[in-house]
This record gives sequence, C-alpha cells and structure tokens, in this order.
Amino acid sequence: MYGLSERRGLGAAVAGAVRQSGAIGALGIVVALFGLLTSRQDYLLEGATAMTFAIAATGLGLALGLSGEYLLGQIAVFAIGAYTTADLTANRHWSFWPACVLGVVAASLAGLVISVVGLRISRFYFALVGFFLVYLIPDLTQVADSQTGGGAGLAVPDLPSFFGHELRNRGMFFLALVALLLSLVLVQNVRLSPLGIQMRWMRVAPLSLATFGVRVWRVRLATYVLSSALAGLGGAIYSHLSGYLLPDDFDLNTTVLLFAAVVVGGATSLLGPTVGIVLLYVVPRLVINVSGYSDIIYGAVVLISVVVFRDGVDRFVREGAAKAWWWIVHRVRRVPLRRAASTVDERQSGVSATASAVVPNVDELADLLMGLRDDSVTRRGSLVIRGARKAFGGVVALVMDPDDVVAIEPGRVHVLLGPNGSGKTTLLNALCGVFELDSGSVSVGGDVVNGVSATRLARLGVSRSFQSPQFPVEMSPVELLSGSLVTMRRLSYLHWMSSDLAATRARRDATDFAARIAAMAGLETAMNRPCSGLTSGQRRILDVLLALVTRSSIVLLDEPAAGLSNLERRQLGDLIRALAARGMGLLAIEHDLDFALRIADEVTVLANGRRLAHGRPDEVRADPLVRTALVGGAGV
Amino acid sequence: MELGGAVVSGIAIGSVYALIALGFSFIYRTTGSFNFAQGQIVTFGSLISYSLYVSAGVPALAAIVIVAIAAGALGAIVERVAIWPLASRGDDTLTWLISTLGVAVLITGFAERVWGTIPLGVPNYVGPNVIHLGGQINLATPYLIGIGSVLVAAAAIEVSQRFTIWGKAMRATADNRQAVALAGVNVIRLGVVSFAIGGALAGIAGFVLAPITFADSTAGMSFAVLAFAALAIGGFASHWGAIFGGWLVGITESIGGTYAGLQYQDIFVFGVLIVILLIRPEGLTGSRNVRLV
Amino acid sequence: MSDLVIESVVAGYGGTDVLRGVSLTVRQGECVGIIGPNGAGKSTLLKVISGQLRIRSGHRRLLGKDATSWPAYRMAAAGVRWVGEPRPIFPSLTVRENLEIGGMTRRGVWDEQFKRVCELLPVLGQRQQETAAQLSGGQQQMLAIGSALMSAPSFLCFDEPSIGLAPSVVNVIAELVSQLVSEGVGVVWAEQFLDVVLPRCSTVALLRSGEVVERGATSEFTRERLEDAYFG
Repeated sequence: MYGLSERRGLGAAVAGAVRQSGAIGALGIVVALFGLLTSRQDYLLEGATAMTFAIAATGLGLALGLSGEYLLGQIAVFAIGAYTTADLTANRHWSFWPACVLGVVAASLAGLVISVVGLRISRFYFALVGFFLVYLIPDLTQVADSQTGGGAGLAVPDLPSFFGHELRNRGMFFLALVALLLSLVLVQNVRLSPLGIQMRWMRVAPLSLATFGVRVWRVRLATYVLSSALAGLGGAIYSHLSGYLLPDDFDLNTTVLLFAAVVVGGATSLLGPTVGIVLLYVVPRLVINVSGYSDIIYGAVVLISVVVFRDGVDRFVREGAAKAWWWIVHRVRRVPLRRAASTVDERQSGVSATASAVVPNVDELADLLMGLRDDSVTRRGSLVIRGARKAFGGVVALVMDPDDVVAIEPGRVHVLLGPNGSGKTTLLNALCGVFELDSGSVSVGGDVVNGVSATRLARLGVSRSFQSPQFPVEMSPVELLSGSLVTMRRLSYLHWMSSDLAATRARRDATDFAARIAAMAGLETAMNRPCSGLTSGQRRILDVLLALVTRSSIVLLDEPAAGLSNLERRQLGDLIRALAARGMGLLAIEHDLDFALRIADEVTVLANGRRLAHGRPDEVRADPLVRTALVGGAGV
Repeated sequence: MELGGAVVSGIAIGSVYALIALGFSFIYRTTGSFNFAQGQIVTFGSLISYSLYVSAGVPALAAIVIVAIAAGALGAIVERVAIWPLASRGDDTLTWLISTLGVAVLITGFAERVWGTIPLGVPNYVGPNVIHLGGQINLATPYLIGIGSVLVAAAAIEVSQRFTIWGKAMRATADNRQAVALAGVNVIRLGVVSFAIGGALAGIAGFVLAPITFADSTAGMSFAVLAFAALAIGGFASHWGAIFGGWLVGITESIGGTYAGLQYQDIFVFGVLIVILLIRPEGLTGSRNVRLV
Repeated sequence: MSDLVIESVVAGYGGTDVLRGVSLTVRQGECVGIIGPNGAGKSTLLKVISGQLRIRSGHRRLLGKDATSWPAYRMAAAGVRWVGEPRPIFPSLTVRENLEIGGMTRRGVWDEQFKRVCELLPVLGQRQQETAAQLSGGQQQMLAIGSALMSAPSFLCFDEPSIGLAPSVVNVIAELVSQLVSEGVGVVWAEQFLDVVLPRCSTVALLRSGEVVERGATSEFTRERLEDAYFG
C-alpha cells in the first residue's frame, strides 16, 4: 500500500508498541509490589477501590478527554455494573465471573441507551441528563429494592473464587490491578486506532469528521459503549470489595471524583485518569486522614487540583519545565536577550522556515496523492449544482436562476469568486451536503443527491477543506494525516483493539506515507509537533492536505490560499494544477484575483447570492460587471 | 380535586425551582458558565434563614435581606475561588464544571459541619399557614411568597438586560467575553457581579424553601438537578423559559408523588426531561441547540 | 508625549518568545504599517500593544504613562482599541447595541460618535436594528471598526483587517483609516500583503522572526527591497 515496502519498519513498529506499553508495565510493577509488600488490609481494600474507580475514569477519559462528551452519568453506569453483578451473586447465587461479564454487558447496554439520547442533545443538556441519573440512584434502588436492597443496602457475602482459591483482600487487589492494566492496554489500542483519532476529531470538529466520510453517530456510539463497558467492569469488581453495596456509594462525590480525575490527570493522556485517581482519592484517603472533615478536605483537594493542574499534571510538568528553562536562560545565565531568544527559536523552529519551504517536486506529491485513488472513484463524473436557492431564517444566501449551473468536472479547476456575503461558502456547503437546498438540485455523475448527508457524499468521492480549519490540537500533522490514511485500510476493529501485526503495520505505513506528504508540502519542521503550534499558513496547508488525503475525485477548497505567503501560494497553485492534470476535479473559493485566474479553467462569479458571470478566466477578467463587483462598489 | 391541588402545589414548588433556575440562567447568560454549587447556595440560604429567624429571632424582612447579601457574597466567593483562577484559559467549560462541583462538595461538607445533617424546621414567616383557594385547593403562604418572588425577580432581570447599558454588557459577555474586555470593560468584575446576583437569587430561594422543606444541609444536589432540569425543559432563550420549566418540573413532581409514590416523583421528572429534550433539544422556548451531525 | 511606545518588548506563548526585543513608537495622527511574512509576530505585536498579551520584559507607555502591566480592558478604556480576528463583535446583539457596548467607556460622547459612525459606515446606520449575526463578513468587520470608533479612541490597532474580505471592503477600510489619521488618530496596521498597506502608511516597520528588521518612511521602501526582505 502507498507504494512503500511492507516489511520496512515492522521491527521498529513492534519496538514502538513495546515502548508505549512500558508506562503501563511500570505502573503494573509498582502497584503489584505495593500489593505484595503491604500488610495493612485497609490499604489493600482502598487500593482495590481506587483501581476500580481508575478503570471507570480511564473509560471516561475516552468519552470526555478524547471525544469531549460530557458523560456526567459515568458513576450511574458504574452503579449499574455493580448492582447487576451483586444481584446475580447475592440473590441468584451465580458465580462471580459470569455475573461480572453480565455486569459489563448491562453497563454497555446502558451506554447504548445513553448514546441514543446523546445523539440528539449536546453538551450541557447531556451533562444534565447524566447528573440527573446519578441523583436518581437512591430512588431507582428503592423502586427495585428486591434486587438492590433499596436504601438499606445489599449484602454481598460471597467472595469470588479463582481456581478454588477465595479472593480475599489481597486477591481482590490483584484482580482489580489486572483489570486496570487490561483496560489501559485496550484503551491504548483504541487511542491509536482510527476510532481513537476520529474521537478526537469529533471533539473539535464533528463536521470535518462527517466530510471525511465517517459516520459521526457510530463514533459517538462506540465511545459511549466502550466507556460504559469499562465503568461496568469497575463497578462489577467494586461490588465485591466491601461486601456491602449502598446507594450512597454512588453520589455527588464519586461523580466529581471521576470527572475531576480525568481533568486533573490530563484529559487527553492515557494514564492521566489513573494519576488523577491517585491524586484525588488515594492521597486524601491514605495520606491526609482527618475524620469528620473528609468532605471539606475532599472538596478543597478537587478545587485546588483543578486550579493548579487545569491542563493536566502532564502539561503542568512540561510547561513548568519550559518556564523554568526560560527563566534560567534569561535571568540566571544573564545571556543577552537576543541570543537567548535564538536558542529558544532553534528548539521551537518552524516559524521563519515556512516562508522558504520549497515543494521539491509538485508532480511527485500529486502522483503520491493520486495514487491513493483507484479508477472506479476517478471515473465517477462531475459534481453539479443547479438552480440553487437557500435562505437562513429569512436571510437569503443563495438565489440562483433555475437553469444556472455550477459544475466541478474531473480534470478541471473551477474557481468561485465574489465579494463577502455573496454566497460562496453557502454554495460549497450545499455541494458537500452540509445542508439541503430550499430548491434546486445537486448531482454526482448524473445521479441526484439532494438531501444526501455529508458523510454519504464524502463516500461518493466529494471532500472539502474549511475556511477556518480546526484540529485536535494535541495531535501532530503526521498523526492526523496518517489517521485519515489508516481509515482507508478498513481493518476490522478486532485488529485495532488487539493491536496485532496487521494493525501495527498499517499504522507504520500510514505514518511513513503521511510524513512524506507533509514534508513535501513544506510542513517538515512542524510535522511531528502538536498542531497547537502551527502558524495560520501551516494550518491552512494541513487542512488542504487532509482534504486531499482521501479517495475523493472531487475536492472543494474554501479559501485555500488565505494567509499563505506568495511562495506558498504559488506552490499551492502548482499543486492544484498538477492534481487536475491527473484527473481530479477541484473547486476553490478565492479572493485573490490573480491567483484565482491563474489556476482556473473555469470561473463563476457570485454576487448577492446570484450568479453574476461564468466563463473562462480571460472572459471573466474582461467583464466590466465583474470588475465593479470585485474591486469597488457592490456588496458592501 | 386531588389533581387540582397537585397542580397548584406543583406550580408553587416549581416557582422555587424557577427562582434557582433564574440564577443559573443569569450566570450562564452573562459568563457562559454554570455555577454547579448553586444548589448548595440554596441550602446555605435555608440554613442561614434558620439561624437568623429561629435561633436569633431576627424579623423575616430583615432576615431575607441578610440572607440575600450572605448568599450573594458566597456566590462571589465561588467565582473568586472556582472561576477566576481559571479565567485566563478562555473558553474551556470543562474545568469550571469540575471546579464549581468541587466547591459544591466543599460547601456541603462545611454546612454539615456547622448545622449537622438533620433537617431543621423553620416556621412560616407571615400570616395564616394556609390560604383557601376555593374547593379543596389550599395553598401554603410560603409557596405564595415563592410565586411572587420569582415573578418579581424575572421582571427585574428582563428590564435591566433590555434597557440598561450594564444589562446589555452582561448579554454581550455571554456572546463574546474577550470583545467586552476589548471595549474597555473589566469583565472579571462583571463576572463576580453576576455570580453574586445568581447567588442572591439562590439564597432567596433557600429562604422561601426553608418553611416548606426544612433547612437540610444535604439537599443541595437535588435543588441543583431539578432547577437545571427546569432550565433545560424551558430553554435558555429567555427568563420566562426558566419559570415555565420550573412550573412544569414542579407539577410533574407533585402529580407523580401524589399518584405513584414519592420514590417515583423524580423518575417522572427525568422521563419528562428526556422526552422533551428528544423532541425539542433546545427546550420548549429555546432557540436551536440541536447537534448538527 | 502623545505617543504609544513599545520598548524592547519580549513576549510570547508557553515556552516560546515570539517577540524578542521589539521597539516601536506610534504617534497620534500617523499610520504605522507592520508588515512581514507569515509567523513573523505581527499579530503578537498588536496583542502586546493592545494589552492582550503579557509583556515578559520591556515596557509599554501610553501618552507618557507607564502602561506595561495594564490588562486589555484598561488599555481599551484608555483609548487603545483593537480590531482583528476573532472579530470583537456580539452576534446575538443588534448592531446598535453592539455600538453602545463599543462606546461604553465614554458614554459622554455617545450621540456625537454614533452620528459620526453612521456617516462613515452608512451600512451600520441602515441595519442598526438587525443582529450582528445577520451581517455579512465584510459588514461585521465594519461593525467591529465602528464599535471601536464609538469611544473616540486615540489609537487603533488593525490586525490584518483585509483577510478574507473582498477588495471593495478593503478599500472602504483603507479610506476610513486615511480619514481617521488625518483627524489625529494613531493607527497601527498589520498586513502580510504589501500592496494593501504601503500606500496608506507614512511609516513602515518590517518584522521578521519576532524582530523589527527595518523601519522607515514608506517612501524608502521599494517593493523590490521589501520582497527581498521577505524572502531573505
């Protein structure tokens, strides 16, 4: 795939996977040593409890940290797992293991139900629903008191047994540890899989995700179910720790605990939630043990941690180090400012380098990009919009005449010009299915696709870039590009979850390929750094690349050259021409007249939602109507 | 007539939820954030009312003023400790969600420490305990105070936000905080003011509630959840949405409690909330807030 | 004394210094163009001037007073207004309300300034009852500028006002700037594209990699010389 050798980098990939698992292994060893060496039963019990919370928090990390979904009801799902398992062993005398499995299943089903609600409502409302669920736990246990014991609680007398051995405190400690480590490995694999990258996209720009051809609802559903399954696992083990289950175990404090653990530990990091639990649960419980003031201390610890570690412990440490370095350079070593600054610059370069970045060979880049596409896609035909009309709440955005046509044909570059508010972006949004037209039609290769979703259209071969691109800022350009590439491989989730050789290899190839493309597009200085550090020009280039790294035959670019330097513009223009020469159909919205007319085969000029002119660049340039519309007078 | 009675007492208790919801929506519309400790400020208001009115014998009228000031101060403190230290981060809702919840835990712990966990009874502030509305429908006077205060509060907020420059500035802050600062206004001070006003509203709600539900240091979360539900049902678009939502929550609770039993009343509210959010995610009076994809 | 002065300022984000000892003086009644390639620190410089970014070392002085540690709202209240991305407007408020907020710090001159803004930018007067969200991108930019003018500022910072706007809108803005300058307002205008800025400014400062590499009267800057400077 991608014309690179399959064998290359396989060893390195395995080594990388081992390295990534290193932190999990180290955590396992430290905790296991503690479990073996301590003789205090209360430490074992609290430790096991903390680990069940850590499992749930790790699951919440997927939903909250990666996907940005406010699953405030995680502790209610945890309770469902706990009560299901406890009911089966205590009331129905099941053995622990099948009961535990059923607890996880029940929790996952709860996640599925929650996801149906979550598909429809957003952030705060969703947070409220979760919060409400937690609030209802005492009422619900009352209603189902024959299963749950109601407010009086449920005794869970039987201990799980493992090959004939009853798991007492130390046994349960290790059971919780094994479950935690397995959960971390699973989550690690999910994070590296296409799903994990899609989750991050969903957080910052769900619309982008849809225009990549990903079904957003499936990503959301997978997020909830995975997150809930882990909460259920934590709950199932929790139910057998203290021998007694009370509705009060799952209250505001535990809700806050899980949420705060994810935020404090570092929302987007793998081990963050576990670190957060250590900080917010283990430390207050074991280190500061003042009875009677526990709520006050706990509230204060949460508050102070969130304020101090608002970006997570990991960012706190990293930025602290950076600040310390700055201070040392400026104050302690008394280096003249100018020189000190340049040492900083060498480490954080990429600012001035972009202006002189040169695409070595535009044709080579175009070949690589076109190599992603197979013939069936490129032969699909033109994207055509006819007689488009659209109004938003009474404000008319597009009023084209019924026979006015804008067509994006394979092998041609169509440029859309027009003053602000003339309807260019509206037209582009209608073309890629972001919303439906009031009247008029959109068709792909002759088939009418009115009302077809952005996701479906992306799968029919239409992709786009955005006017103000947004990325999951913690990821690097290479990671984002390779995430998009890897999605195309259509490996089943089993491969990704187990992170087997096929998955590792796919990831490795995609990373190599992504790095090559990024370097060729002039991003090499920035390609392995988080996107938060990109300049506006680099963001623009990355967004255009993301639209190109697909199987699409038609690519729509919303102001691709805005904010680029003259040199970058020239290179972008060359790339667009080279792609068109290889059969791609492109539409570009532009403001810069010279640039637009240089790259275009065909130009449409919009003004006040109408088609003002249409034709070859030289015809449009000569049109006096167009001159007044673009240079002076109209539109303001 | 049981139904009529349930509806009337539902509207009455709903008015108190609406009062709390008004505080929520006021803070939200001004600062773009929610104060999740709002429910705890309500209990704080109730407990102070107990201390003033029952223990110290302060007249009701003086007590309500002191409660409003104290709760307003607590709201301002919440802003100082849970919002202000995070303000430099700009638009990140997640952290203050947690930090205000942390404060909620802290206030609960503090209240339990000072007033204990046993609910404290507060006698009615004025006049006869019950007013007969005809038939068998009766209304306790404290409820009447609740209905009155929520209407007055909503009208006052509405007028100030439409017609005064500071009210407009508060709406503007909800839109674009940085731009208000760039117009030369100290938005941090504006945020403290709105938290104080929200806190005062919650405190007044606590004062009104004390004779109805007793002053209960552990009840904070239920007020927060139900008022938040009222807001979601009514929609954020206007203050009338909060009132309407509060009444609906109150009526649902009271009918559910009357006919199905107390443990079902909030499950009913939850059901209504889910159904309404599924049909109209933006709430009954709100502008669109539905997910695009 | 009627100056806005930035003196060897170091400022940046996280562990990076974007500006490394930049000095700049803007007098009332002059337009200073800040030009430079992408990522040179133009936006950062304007954020420093308008108080939106903390100064790590160096000084800022406004009309003779030390303003180094003033936050953005204080700079704005003292007459330094900023227009850039994201646009400082309020989408859900009406155009008129936007302007009222814009003039909040100087309510004494409200009527006078409102009349003037409606003269300079007639579209705002015509659409004053509509919400800002209903305006087109160019009109929103006009609104941002109009709001800034409501307080009769002494200094205006424009951070690439032309980006994403049609040439006709840019022309309107440019003419407005010329007029404001002739009335004694000091303008700092950052742009990447030379042809937009050069004709309007009396002085130009060329920024590269966080330093002012050249500064002088506009007439001294030929296009060729600037292009050389851009691409080194």
